[in-house]
Parts: sequence; structure tokens; C-alpha cells
Amino acid sequence: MLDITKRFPGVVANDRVSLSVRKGEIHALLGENGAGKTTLMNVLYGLYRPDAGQIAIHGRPVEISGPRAAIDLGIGMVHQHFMLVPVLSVAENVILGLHGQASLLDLAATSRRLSKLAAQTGLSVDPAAKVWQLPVGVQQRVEILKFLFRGADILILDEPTAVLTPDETARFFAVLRQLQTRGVTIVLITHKLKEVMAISDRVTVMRGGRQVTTLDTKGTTPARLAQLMVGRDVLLEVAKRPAMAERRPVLAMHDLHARNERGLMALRGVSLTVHSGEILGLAGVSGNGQEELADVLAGVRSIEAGALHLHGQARPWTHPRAVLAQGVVQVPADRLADGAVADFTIAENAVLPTHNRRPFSRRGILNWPRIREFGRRLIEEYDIRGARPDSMAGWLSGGNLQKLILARQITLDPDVLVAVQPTRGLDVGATEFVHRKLIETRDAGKAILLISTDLDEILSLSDRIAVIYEGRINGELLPPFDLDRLGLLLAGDEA
Amino acid sequence: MDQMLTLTFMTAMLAAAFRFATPILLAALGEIFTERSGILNLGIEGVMLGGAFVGFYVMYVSGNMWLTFLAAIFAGLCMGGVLGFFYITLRANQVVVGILFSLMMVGLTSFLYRLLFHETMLGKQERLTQLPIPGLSQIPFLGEILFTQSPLTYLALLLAPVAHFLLYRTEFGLSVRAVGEHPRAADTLGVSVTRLRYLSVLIGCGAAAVGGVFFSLHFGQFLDEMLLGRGYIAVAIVIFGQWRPGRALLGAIIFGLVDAFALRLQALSITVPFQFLLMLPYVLTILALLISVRFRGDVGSPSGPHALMAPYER
Amino acid sequence: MSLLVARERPLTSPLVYTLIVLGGALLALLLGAVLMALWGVSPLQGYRELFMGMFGSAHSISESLLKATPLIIISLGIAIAFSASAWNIGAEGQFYMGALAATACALVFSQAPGYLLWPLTLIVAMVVGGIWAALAGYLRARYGINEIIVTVMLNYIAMYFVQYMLASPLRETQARGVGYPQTDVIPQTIWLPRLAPGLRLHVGFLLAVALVFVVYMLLRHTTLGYRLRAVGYNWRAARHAGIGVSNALIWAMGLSGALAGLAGQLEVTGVHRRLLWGISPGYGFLAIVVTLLGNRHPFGIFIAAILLAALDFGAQTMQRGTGVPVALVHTIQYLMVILVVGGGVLRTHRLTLFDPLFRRREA
Repeated sequence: MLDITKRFPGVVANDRVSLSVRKGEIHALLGENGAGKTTLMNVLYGLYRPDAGQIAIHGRPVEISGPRAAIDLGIGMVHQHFMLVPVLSVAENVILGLHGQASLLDLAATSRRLSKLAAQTGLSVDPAAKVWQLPVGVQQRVEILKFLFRGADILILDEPTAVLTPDETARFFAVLRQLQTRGVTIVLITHKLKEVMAISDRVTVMRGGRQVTTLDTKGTTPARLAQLMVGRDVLLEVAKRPAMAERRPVLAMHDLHARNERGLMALRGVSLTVHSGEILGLAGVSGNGQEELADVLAGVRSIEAGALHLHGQARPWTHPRAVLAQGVVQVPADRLADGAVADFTIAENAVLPTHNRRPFSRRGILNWPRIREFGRRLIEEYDIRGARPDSMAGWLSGGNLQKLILARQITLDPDVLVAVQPTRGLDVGATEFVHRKLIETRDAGKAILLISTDLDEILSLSDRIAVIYEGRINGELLPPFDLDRLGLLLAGDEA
Repeated sequence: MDQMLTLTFMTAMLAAAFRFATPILLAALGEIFTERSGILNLGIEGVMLGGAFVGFYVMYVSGNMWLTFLAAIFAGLCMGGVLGFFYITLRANQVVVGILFSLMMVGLTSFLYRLLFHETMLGKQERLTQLPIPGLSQIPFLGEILFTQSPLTYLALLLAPVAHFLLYRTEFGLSVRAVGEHPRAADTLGVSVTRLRYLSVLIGCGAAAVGGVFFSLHFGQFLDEMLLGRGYIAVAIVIFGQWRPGRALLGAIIFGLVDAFALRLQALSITVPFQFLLMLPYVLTILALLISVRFRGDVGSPSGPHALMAPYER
Repeated sequence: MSLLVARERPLTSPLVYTLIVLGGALLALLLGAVLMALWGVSPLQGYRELFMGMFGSAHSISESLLKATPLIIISLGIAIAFSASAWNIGAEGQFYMGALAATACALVFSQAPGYLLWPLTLIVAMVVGGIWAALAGYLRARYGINEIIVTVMLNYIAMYFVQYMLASPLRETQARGVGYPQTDVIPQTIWLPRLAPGLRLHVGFLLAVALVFVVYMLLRHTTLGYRLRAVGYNWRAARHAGIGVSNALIWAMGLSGALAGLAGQLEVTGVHRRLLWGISPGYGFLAIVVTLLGNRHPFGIFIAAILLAALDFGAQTMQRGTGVPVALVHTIQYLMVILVVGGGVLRTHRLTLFDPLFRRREA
């Protein structure tokens, strides 16, 4: 790829980026969130048209007009969010788009070929299973098989280990090496230095939409890569005082059971206590009941069995309004869906939970000057950039939107703050800001439950770690954290 | 009440049930494809009306039933193209455009009717002729119910298994289902979301237009208000049928049964005011929607395919 | 490769919306011209008759405003429902139920003094219309049932019910033979005064004007309006913030239906002084057009309602003058809004011929 430039309205996602990948190598594409790695790969996969630049494969210049063309050239891309249709079976997902629209489905033959391919590559999977029934790790195998089935010899993997336990990651890397011996070229998009060092032959570092450099992995060090990636020396530790000595239990969950959207039991006996003045990190591989637990705590999902206690007393947990009134506040994982109203102004969003309280309204009549003033206050105190109280929330970048939501929720002065994936998709600056605010809130004596699949985040912020596995708490850890034991707990081993 | 229990009465009513199920079944089968691809087409009420009008006109001019069907399908495809342009290319709100299109067609067909027939109210035209199937129609009871119908009814009943086969046993059907559940996943495998959605809207509108022909041919006349919400009822049948052809068939037959029942009771001059009998289909539709809450099919959520009404953008 | 594709671009100025509306109107009028020509009437002459009919005399202005009155009120209600993303397509039925309730109430309590009876009929009409709509809101909130289908079905149920009432229980007592389906005249004590002698425009129009401001205040300056809009834009975020989504949906539908019922009462007490079949020439459906053309804003609705009502009245003049049927104008009205809604994409997207996604552009 030579001099690729891709602009979006208002941003240049790729600025004259060149990338050359050798046949049969594992090439890491390293960079922070928003550095333009995924955009570059989407260009290679034909999803985006480059505004300028050229692509050549095996020395021949090519024009990639769409995913179909990319597939025909032997390119496959496994996206960070899997491109699998949940209600369809594995075989159906694999065969999708493979033949002409007029042809009949031969699922039996596909399943046979698929099983054979799976056996050869060590990616075993049941072709008849519906995708939604499979654990994420297996879904990932399906994604890879989808492209091997099409004869791909260049595989792009976007943050593949985000959904895997350390143990699964090791096994996954073994599969990648095996694929490499079969002549498959692999591009691995990641922001984790350890992975780059562990698996890649060469590494290209990107920052702010530009290519910084390409290096042989053997000739470099993690510290050097970190510096190249962030552009300055990095604080590997978040500045943090130890948690307060005096802690009282605030929120206690007893044997919680709840079902997911499909009616299956997703929480199967969660018992957990969060104390004032601490950050309790709930670690776990994605899809082990975290979303359902967050929903239960927000009051939007009903409990099948179990109880919730606040300050030692059992409380009803039936409606978000009641939950908020009891001082349990959430920063939801999906900012645009659950956190904010994109078509409301920042000021309107700022009073979403408080619009019917004084001073924002009296006897059902809104007090707009006060609401705007409050919006302005949040913008200043939380450094929400490029925003006025009357500008639309939907216009904010992910980081600034998260600041707005965090500002609103912390200003509610809660007893318990539940932060779910609070920095997913944010750049370095916004991540640091969110982390600092969470610690400040803890130091103010609040109880914080941090639900995150990002282990680094859990490790750097938590005063205590609990691990969730298949809807149960599999174990708890106290500092100093034992990483090996954490890995075992994440993988479901009883400890 | 005695008259209701006779065999003749029952046969006639069941035969009528299949007759009345015909247009709704046709529209519902088409709408299943449309919705499975992620488009909610509330314009089918208007498309059916358009089909009814075109069918009436072509039948009047040519007298040829097959030509009439072809013309209606062609008209349906044209309307589908226009609707698809708004739904897919312009990404317009599907609810709003669909409803407005249906309302507009009332004005347009009534204008065109006057334009073509110069305000003269026509007498009843040739009706939809029955085409008894030799042999099978001789079977007692069943023969009269199932095999002494018009070609449109046979077509609708045949299309139910065809639709099932298309949806579950062909690459096209698989693509349609994928596009309506997770369009981006389909796109990344080179399946064109736009093309499949257009095709699905065209299928839906073509089928709805043929369903519309039933009205003008069955009643032998055209009125701009003759549909009485049958297009919307077809949409409800799709929901009741959990976006599956087989269950839509069942829903359409139940609906036809109620329609036939209401009509027979009216004829028997039972003391219930006829207006209440005419309400039955609409009450039933609401009940059917209530019942469907209890079931879930093989689509992404109880409220339909996951990407229903969500325009796709890369 | 696609022929025509919409690509996202930054939000454009409000001017674009004005241009879209004008463009949509122009295109619709153009199609109208084609249809007129097909009819054998010169489009110029046709449109002259149409516009003269709309605003040509005091009488036509009065008639246009008279038609605009129910349109404004129903549309304000629909705007409330739409703001909460509750798709109320059943205003026609709610209007009829309100008119029926008001008439029945007036006929039953005909001896009551007017200053009591008029407000009573108003309240009854609003409650009945409101419940008729809230039923759909409840089914949506409680069971997730599509309110579009339900309101459409309730339209037909309401219409057959009114037909039944007009055919027997409330049938005009002095009707001879088959007779027109209508009730007795309501007591004169609750006839609404007319604004000028010789014209049919009544004080209900002033009420409609007042309601424009009331609904504006409701949506913009009350906590209820705020909640409705929050739920309409993003019900999940609203729910997370403790806003009762079900309540908002039921309120939105209920208020919407109450306004349609109110419009029904005004038509009975202000214009016809009885309930008759065909008291609404499709106001409940045309109001959807008005709401969307007015961009769901009360002030926009006020202007759009008067325009469309005038078009409706002008159409009658046109039919008398040139023979072109009224249906033509109905077609144009709906087509215009379809075009405006479709054109709305231009606010956030750029339309490009031959999708450049795959077209090579040399750097």
C-alpha cells in the first residue's frame, strides 16, 4: 500500500500511509485507538475508497472496488466486532455470498468441507450450530474459517485478542503460526505491545493517521514501541494513592439471577459487595454476563432470583428512576444508545435524569436559563472540547461525549458509580481523563464498580478484582494481583 | 342456527375463506421478503390499490385474465421501484413514506379512473372466473373448498411453499435473511445490500399488486376505497406469522375464515348489526398481534429482523 | 457500482430545508400539470382556477380557514405523538369518536344550560378520543405491539361503530325513508358563534390559534414535553436516565387522540351542528401531511394547515371551473410531502451519480 490517504468529513484518517507486507509474514499494525489502523485495513479490504494512493498485491497494482474484489484477491478481514449473522448457522455464515444468488444452498456439502478444513487448521467448530449460541472465542474461529474456506492467503485480524483470555490468546497465536507455515500472510491490528513482541515478524507503528515507522520486531523493545506509538514517554502506571483504610459495604448483590435477550439464564448467582472508597474491578472475557449485570444494576433488566442490598438493607430494584433515587448511577457501555440523546443539545443531555428537579424545573415548567448554565458548567469543569450548551450532543467525539456523560453522572453525587467499559474506543488523552475522574470520585468516598474487559484498565485502577465467568463470580483477588491466577480465573478454572 | 351447521353451509364458508385469504396471503408472502431484507413497506396498501386499478383497466380493455396479471405485476414492479428509491437510495423514513404513498394512491387511482372512464360509473365487469381442477374438484367437500377456486387462489397457495423454499433453500434467500439481520456482515462478504433490498421490495410490491387484482376482479368493479386496510392487515399477518411463509399462510386462512364468517352471518340476517360483523377482521388483527407477542421465530428479535427500518451505510 | 448513492456529509443550514420544501412543491405541481394536461385542461388555466379558489375572496378565505381549523388541531396532536416517535395514524378514528361522543352527550343532556353543556361535550370528546388513541399507546408500551397497525385498525373499527350509531341508536328522528346517515341537530345553546355574518368561520379557529401556542409551550417548555422528546429521540437513553418510557408513550398517544377528539367536537358544534357521515373528508390523514410539511413544529403546522386547507378548497373551485377532479389535488398534496421527506436526505447526505466510492480519482 503506497501513500494511502483517506478523509472523512472533518478528519484525515489516513495521511499518506505506506505499508508493505511480505508474503508469509505476521505483520503487526500498532497504534492507539484512533490512529487510523482500522481505516487503513478497511481501505485494503475495499470497504472504503482511498482519496489517494495505490495498492499492489504480489507486485501487481490492483484496484479493490469492494469486499468481493478483495476476497477474489485472496484477502480476508476479521473485524473487531464480528461480521457474523447471529441467527444463522455456522455453515450458513460461511456459505453466504459464496455462490451466485440463483444457486441452491448445499449446506450438507459445505458442512463436510468445513469440518475437514477445521480439522486441518485446528479451528474446530460445529457447522450446524447457530452462531449466537457459540462463545466469542469459537465465533472468532468461524470468522477465520469463513475466509480460509474462500482460499484467502492474506488475513487481516483487527484486535483479535480483545475477546480472549490470556490462555486462549496463547492457543490462538499457535493457530496463527500454523497458518503462517501454510503460507498465509497475516496482518495483526493491535494496540498491545506484548502481542506485537510475542507473535509478529515486523511491526508498523501508526500515530494520528500517519505511519511512524516499520521495524523488525527482533530489533526493538516494548519501551521503544510505546514511545513511537504515543509520541512521548508514557506513564505506565496511573498515579493513585492506596484506597482509604476505612471502608463500609455499600452495595451488596446476593445470588443474582437474570436472563438475557434470548431468554437464557445469563446471570447464575452473582454475589458481590462494593465498598465505599474503593474501585472494585469486575474482570471477565466479553459475553460472560457483564452486560446483563450492568443492566440489572441500572434497573432496566429484571431479576429472576436474588436480592440487592444498599447500606445493608434490601431494596426493590424495579425501575431506573428508583435506582437513581437510591444513589446508584451508571456510566453505560454503549454511550450513544444508552448514555446520551444524540439529537438533544448538550444542555438538554446534562439534565436528562434531573430535568424534573429544582432548579431545572418548577411545577412542570422548564427553566431554560438554569439548564443552559448547568450545561456550561459541565463543559468547563470536564473540559468538553469544541462544545457550547446549545450544540448537539451527537456532534461530540467519543471522548468528549463520554466526558459529558461522566460529568452528568458524577454530578448526581451518587453513593455507587457503576462504570461499564468507560474508555472503550477513546484516545489516550480521554482515557487518562476518565481514569483520573474515577479515582477522584473514589477518593471522595464513593463506591465504584468498574466493569471492563480491558485487563490493563482493571489492573491499573482496581483496589480489588473480581472475575466473572459464565454468569458467576469465579473468584476475587487482592493486591498485589497475581496475574497467573487472574488468567486461570478468567478461563473459568476454579481457584 | 340450524342453517349454520349444514354441510353445504360449511363447505361454502370454507371455500370463501380460501378466497378471502388470497389477496392477503399474496401481499403477506411478498412482504415477508421485504421485511426480511430490512425494509418495512407500509406502502403495500397503496400498491395493492394500484394493482387493483391496473388490473381492472386491463381486464376492461383486453378481457384477458393472464394479460391482466402481467400488467398488474408490471405496475407493482414500477411502484416498487419508486418506493425502493425512497426507502433505500434516499434512506427516507419508511413508516412515513409508506403511509403517505398508500394515501396518495387513493387520490391517484381515483383521478385515473375518472380520466380513463370519463366519470361514467361502469356496470360490473367480468368477474374472476373459477377454474375447477379436473378430477380433484370432484372430491367431496375438499374438492369444492380447495379445488374449485380462481387461478389467483391456486397461485397464492402454491406460492407459500415456493416462498419457503426460496427463503431457506437458496443463496438468494440466505442473502436476504443476512441483509435484514446484519447488513454489514453481508456487505463484507461481497453481498450487495442495496441490490438485495431493491429485489426484495420489488418482490413484495409485485406480489401485493397481484393481490390487489383480486379485489377488482372478484368484485368486478373498482372503487378507490375498496381495500379497507387489507394491505395493513397483510403486514399484521407477517408479524403474526413471525416472518415465516408457513405461518403467514395459517394467519391468512384464519383471517379469511373470519371474513367469510362475517359475510355469511350477514346473509343470514342474524340480529347482530352488520357493522359489528364488518369490524371483526380489524378486531381480529389486533388480537393476532397480541397473540404473536407470545411467540418468537427464527428472526433476530420478537419485533422482527434486527436491521428492520435501519438504512445501511458503509 | 451503483447508479445513485447517498453519502454522509456535515449537517447543512436550515436554508437547505426551505429549498427542499420548495423543490418538493415544485415537482409535485409539475406532476399535477402533467395530469391536468392528460385531462385535457391547460395547466395554466387549471392552476389559475385553483389559486383563485384558494384566496380569491372573503368567502374563500373564510372557507379555507374553516377547513384549516380541524387540520391545525389534529396536526398539533399528531406532532405530539410523532415527537415521542409514537406513530399515530389513527387520528381519523379518534376524530370520529370525539365527534360521536360530543354529539351523543349534547343530545342526551340537551336540557342542560349551554355554559355547562359545551365544556362537558368538549371534555367528553377529548377523553373518548384520548382513550381511543391511548389504547394503541398502551399496547405498544406494554406488549411492544406496532402502534401503526393498531391505530389503522382502530380507524376502521371507529368508522363502523359511528356508522352503526348513525344507522340506529342516534339516527335522526324525523328521517324519512332511507335518509342521510345523520343525527338530530344539537341544542342551539352550544352552537359556536360565527366570526362574521354570512361566513361560516367560527370562534373555534381562534381556539386553534391558541392551541398552537399551548402545544409549542408543552413541547418546548414543560418537563412532560421534554420527556416525550427524549423518548422519541432515544428511548433507551431516556430509560437509563429514569424517564418512564411507557408513560411517555401512553401520554403522547392520549394527548394526540384528545386533540383529534377536540377537533371533532368543534366540527360538530361549530360547523354542522350535528354528527353526519362524512363529517371528516379525511382530515385525520391529511393532518399527517400537514404535520410533516410543517416539520412537526407548531408554527410550521399552522402555516402548512392553512396552505393545504386552501388547496383543498381551491380544488373544489377548480373542479367546478375546469372539471378536473379534486382527487388530483389530493394526489399532489401527498406527493409533495413524500418528495419533501425523501429530499430530507439532502440535509445530511450528498447524492452522487455513479458512486465515486470505487471511482479512481488521481491524487
